[in-house]
Amino acid sequence: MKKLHLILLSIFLGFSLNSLAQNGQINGKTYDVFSNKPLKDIKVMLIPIGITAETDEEGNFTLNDVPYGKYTIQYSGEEMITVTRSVQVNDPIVNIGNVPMSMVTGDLQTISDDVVPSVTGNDDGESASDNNISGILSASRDVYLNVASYTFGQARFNLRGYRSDNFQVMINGITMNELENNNVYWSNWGGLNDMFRYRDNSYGLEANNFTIGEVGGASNTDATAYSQRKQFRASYALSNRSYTHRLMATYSTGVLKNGWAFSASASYRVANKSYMPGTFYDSWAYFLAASKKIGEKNFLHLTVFGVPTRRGKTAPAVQEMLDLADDNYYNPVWGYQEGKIRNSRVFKSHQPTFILSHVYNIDKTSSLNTAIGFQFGETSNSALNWYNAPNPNPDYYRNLPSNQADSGLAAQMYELYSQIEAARQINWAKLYEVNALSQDTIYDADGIVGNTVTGKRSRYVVEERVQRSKDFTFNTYYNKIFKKVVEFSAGLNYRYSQSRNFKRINDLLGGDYFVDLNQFAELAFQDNVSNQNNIETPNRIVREGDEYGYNFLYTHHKAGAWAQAKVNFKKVEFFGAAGINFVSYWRTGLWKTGLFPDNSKGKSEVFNFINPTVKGGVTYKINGRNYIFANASYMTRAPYIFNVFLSPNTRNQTASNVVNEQITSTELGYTYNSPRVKIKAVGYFTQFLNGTETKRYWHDQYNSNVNQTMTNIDRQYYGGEFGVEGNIYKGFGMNAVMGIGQGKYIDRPNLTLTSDNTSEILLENETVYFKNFYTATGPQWANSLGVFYNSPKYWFVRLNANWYDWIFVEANPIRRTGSAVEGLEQGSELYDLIVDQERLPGQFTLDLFGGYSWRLNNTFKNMKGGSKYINFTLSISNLTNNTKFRTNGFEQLRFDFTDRNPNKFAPKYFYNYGINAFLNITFRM
Amino acid sequence: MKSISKKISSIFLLVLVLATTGCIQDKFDQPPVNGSDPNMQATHSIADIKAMYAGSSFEVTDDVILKGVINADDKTGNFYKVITFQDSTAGIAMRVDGNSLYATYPVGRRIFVKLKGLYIGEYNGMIQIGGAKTAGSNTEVEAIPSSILENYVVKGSLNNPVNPIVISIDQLNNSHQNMLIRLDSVEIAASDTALTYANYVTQTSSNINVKDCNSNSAVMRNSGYADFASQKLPDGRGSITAIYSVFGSTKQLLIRNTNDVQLNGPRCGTAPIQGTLITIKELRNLFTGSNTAVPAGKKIRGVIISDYMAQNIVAQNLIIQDQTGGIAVRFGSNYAHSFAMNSEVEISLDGTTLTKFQELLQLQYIEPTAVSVIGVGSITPRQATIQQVSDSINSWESTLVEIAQATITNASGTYNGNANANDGTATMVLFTRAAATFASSPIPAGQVNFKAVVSRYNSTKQLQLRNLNDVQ
Repeated sequence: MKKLHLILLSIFLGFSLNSLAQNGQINGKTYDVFSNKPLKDIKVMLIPIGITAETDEEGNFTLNDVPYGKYTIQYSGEEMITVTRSVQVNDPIVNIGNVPMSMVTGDLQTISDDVVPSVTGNDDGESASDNNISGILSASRDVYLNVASYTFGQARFNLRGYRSDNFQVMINGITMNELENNNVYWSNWGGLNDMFRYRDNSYGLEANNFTIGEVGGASNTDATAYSQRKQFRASYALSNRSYTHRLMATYSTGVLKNGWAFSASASYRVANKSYMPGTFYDSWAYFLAASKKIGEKNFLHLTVFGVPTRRGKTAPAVQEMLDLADDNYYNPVWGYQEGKIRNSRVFKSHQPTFILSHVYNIDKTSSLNTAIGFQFGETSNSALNWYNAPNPNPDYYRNLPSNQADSGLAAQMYELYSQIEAARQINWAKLYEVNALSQDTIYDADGIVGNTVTGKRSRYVVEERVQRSKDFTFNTYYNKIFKKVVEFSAGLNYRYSQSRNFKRINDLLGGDYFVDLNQFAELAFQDNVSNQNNIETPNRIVREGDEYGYNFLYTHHKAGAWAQAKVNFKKVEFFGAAGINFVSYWRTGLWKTGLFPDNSKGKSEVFNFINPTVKGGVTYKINGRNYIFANASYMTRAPYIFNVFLSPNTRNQTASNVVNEQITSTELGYTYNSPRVKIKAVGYFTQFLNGTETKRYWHDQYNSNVNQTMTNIDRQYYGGEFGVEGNIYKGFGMNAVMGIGQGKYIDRPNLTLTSDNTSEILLENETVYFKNFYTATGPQWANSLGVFYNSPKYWFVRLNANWYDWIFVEANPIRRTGSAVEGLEQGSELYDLIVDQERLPGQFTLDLFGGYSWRLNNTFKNMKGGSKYINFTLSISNLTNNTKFRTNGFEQLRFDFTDRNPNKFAPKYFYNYGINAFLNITFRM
Repeated sequence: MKSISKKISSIFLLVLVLATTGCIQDKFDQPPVNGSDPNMQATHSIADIKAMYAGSSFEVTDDVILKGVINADDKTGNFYKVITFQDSTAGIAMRVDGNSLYATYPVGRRIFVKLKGLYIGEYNGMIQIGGAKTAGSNTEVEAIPSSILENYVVKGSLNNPVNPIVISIDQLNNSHQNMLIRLDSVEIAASDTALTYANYVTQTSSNINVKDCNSNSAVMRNSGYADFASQKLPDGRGSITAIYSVFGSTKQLLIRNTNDVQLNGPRCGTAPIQGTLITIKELRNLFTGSNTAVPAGKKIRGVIISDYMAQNIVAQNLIIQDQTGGIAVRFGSNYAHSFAMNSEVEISLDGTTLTKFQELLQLQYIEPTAVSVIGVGSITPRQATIQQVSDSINSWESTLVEIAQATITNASGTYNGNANANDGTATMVLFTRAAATFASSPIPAGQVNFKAVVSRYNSTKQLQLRNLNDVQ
């Protein structure tokens, strides 16, 4: 022991003796691993102090005035995979050698962002956990993540089985996860791919110097004008995925002599029909950024972007409907109107984001990054609503052949649905007809005695469920290197957000007005008070553009602080981090509802939470290429407001047991990196304890929307991540990747069921027998085997064969309660049918990916300016057109307590796209 | 700097220009809503089909088409999963598995039913159309799933009048099944007058006993889901309009809504309206030119020619006419009456006053108890030209006239407000209140025959429709 102390002491002393300010120089070179040619115009940056240089024609660069210390050096270039290396500067001249780089094999980010269809549950909240995190870590240097995020992402594979709320996403230091549910809405910067290339990722529990992060990791994208190279790009993409055409143009000035830099980008994505029938896409995007270098140490950046979008959505359907349509991509939410396809579920969004950031390079070893962000705007989802009229959904279960006892009638229904497409889709003409026939008179309209309104009272309307929000963020973090061994980082942040949630009439479908009444309350109470959505203006007449239904605010405050120290020895690196968050939120009802006059309007109870995080890890460097690492973390997380308020549309009532979720995670890994071979193997073990989750759906039996709140949810995820990639011979290579894991419930949650229309609790703390049930997170076992060839003639092709398995359907908790199986014999056929969790069959897919970069200067020698390129990339996914691949599914949350027929409310499934392609052509100079 | 901003703005311009060529259509065409009859003919009458039923359910295998008008719907919830319709021969019920059927199949819509492939059966004596035989029953039939209903039912024109058959309880028989009937001079049995129509709390149906003054009885069956279930039953005597139904040997009445129940008069056995009967002309002649109190001990008898349901008259007023003339009658204290058109009533004149309201002679402040429905009557409108109406307005005021071959015009194209009626002899205002149910209905082009009540508003002579049935 004594000896060890002495050694440690001498190490520290040694460093301190050497800590006199000395500067060195780093020299290096880069080359293309496939062509073996030097690479020019590669941006080389020293992290964290920000000294930069670019490589010359021979691929050489020099970084001057580098204080002695340990750094990360980052190589990034157009179309190239970003490469990082560690470098220790303790001599006047350090030569880092010739570093190989390789082309990004296509626009990975673009493709993974756009591949997953936007899906809506058939009823609100009733859908599988379909948030996908695939885009977060793409274009990463990690052999496993590259495949897992792009290839597996298409099959709705979730990294480690985590939902997207477990990954922190930042832009210029501003966290983009929503406070209400920690989810990330990529669509807020979709279509601006050119500007969001430069990302700093940490996966899992890995340390980074900008945030303490979430359990799944964190990324910070540098979208400042300063980081964009001088360039002009214009691209056109053709696809049969979410959109058909994409036009994109980008111009960046690079850093001008006067210290300014500017960037602008704009794009338009459009489809009249995307892969899923009845869907369309109409999305603009704009981006403007300016940077100014002030003196030698200060940088000021302003970045503004927004993506005004409209797109038609799709909803999953039961297998019976898919079979009737003979199409696994059947989409029930559209119909023909006067011969044109009209989608009833339209997503609209425009949330401009403004980020002002300041980077202060205090000295050669420390920097301070500060940013304020402001985001505001509106997102809405449209849907049909109806009042005293038949359910217009073509897949309404009561109208399906399976719900018909008489076989003759069922056969007629089968024939109708299978033969006539219009019968399987929304009948818009009928909705207009009903509204046209609906002459009605409203007395005492708008609460004014004697005010009589007569006309066509719409019984079908298209409504928009709107969230109008404003979000303010302040974030600052400080980085300092002490004595060349200790990297110290610390940050402070504060966020405020307020969202107003309401419904709005989008289209009266030919009628003159709609009345803001709660028809389901009318069924239960025959008075003219209970049925008022807002008793302060009873019998309110609403027309297109008017708000109705519900109206409330969610207000959040969140403040946090964190600090991290990372100690780098020659063989071993340690880090430890700790952070704390303070969260406070409440609901404010803006309307007093007829059913709940006492607790619908005004401010609710205020919920406050304190959430600590601790995290630490060690990396042992066997040599420069072999690393072993182990990390662990513990954190708590406040339950999301969405899950705490039982029926936010109508009142302030909350779950009775509002507690923090506890998240513990450990990971152990090995990596090997050489220019020819990369290997990664990681094992992880994570528990999420005491979770709370609320889902909302329509329940016929109660004639009301009901809210199903599960508390005490204990889940566990463990598994392994393996990847190997090798360059075999002259540009030929192979990779093999596997993600294998188990996400399970490890205990029995409690379930409480409440109704929007009564204060009565329908079920209270019913035990859900969920132990050892699988969480529904897409395939839990994903494998990919790939071969690739990179030609020195600037083209590449890669082919991946993938196998997915262990896909479980999300289980309906009510089916796993005592009341669902009461009186049944355990192990009987019906018992098993109700209780057993469905596993979907494993599936195979094949993906092809290729690209070619054509340098025009060789062809058109007389053209002015610098190098000009035309790049082609083509991605063809699911080459074998496997249309039977159900990537996930969920059981409907209703259960037929009368007949206990689990197929009455059959599961709904998501199918992987059949063969689909994405072709992109980029011109750049 | 200038060239940079130029380049940046040109980026946006480029995308804008390229993108506008591929823009997505935003506004959808609104489909036409036609309520016209298809080119179809009935092959059989409803009575023909009912006659085919011989005690056990059967499938119709021939191309049989029935044509009828819907006489009841599920708007109030008293009818459930059924469409009943009638032609001139009979009525029949069609079981349909669906809610809010009235959205598409409201009262007054003509429908054509292609019976081939459907079944005719019976439920406790009620003959019904269904989609299949009920398993295990020789007589009953299953509801037709609403998704395939349009394979069998073709929708026709709207707002066709369905006139009830006026009948007495003892005359009701199976030929009236599912037809709209009206019983006059009936009342709720004394044992039931304290009840509500049904029990909406437990949502259970009620059988309410109805009888006439000769102690013939029937049952009014009300659903616990009906939106009027919680309303109190009226305890007077008067008329009940209903779909006639049977349950075994019980005669059942199914009302569409509470407007079908007009029990406002004195109960059987109570004293009728007292006083000396005078004619309406004699009453009008009592008016002295300023407010005139009517002497006590007098009554009038006449037929109501206004239609409170169509609301082209204020809710407090009605217009009554006898052989000698007509007069506007006003109830007191904002009482919204529900005396149906064509009811024959007696009105006690005790305590009333004759006055002029905007120059229209009006008898005012009648108590509801001063009116007794004694039966059903009808007034034959006076055939006249508009010129004649104009010339005779003083004696024809508040009476019904019929104008032939007139053209009605209004700037808005609807009835709302002051339209002009011209029959070639003269032009007169045809006034419709904004609150009238037909105010926003379009005026038919070309010449029409119409019935109207002669009225005036200060110096303006005007005609007033009662409802859209007045225009032919």
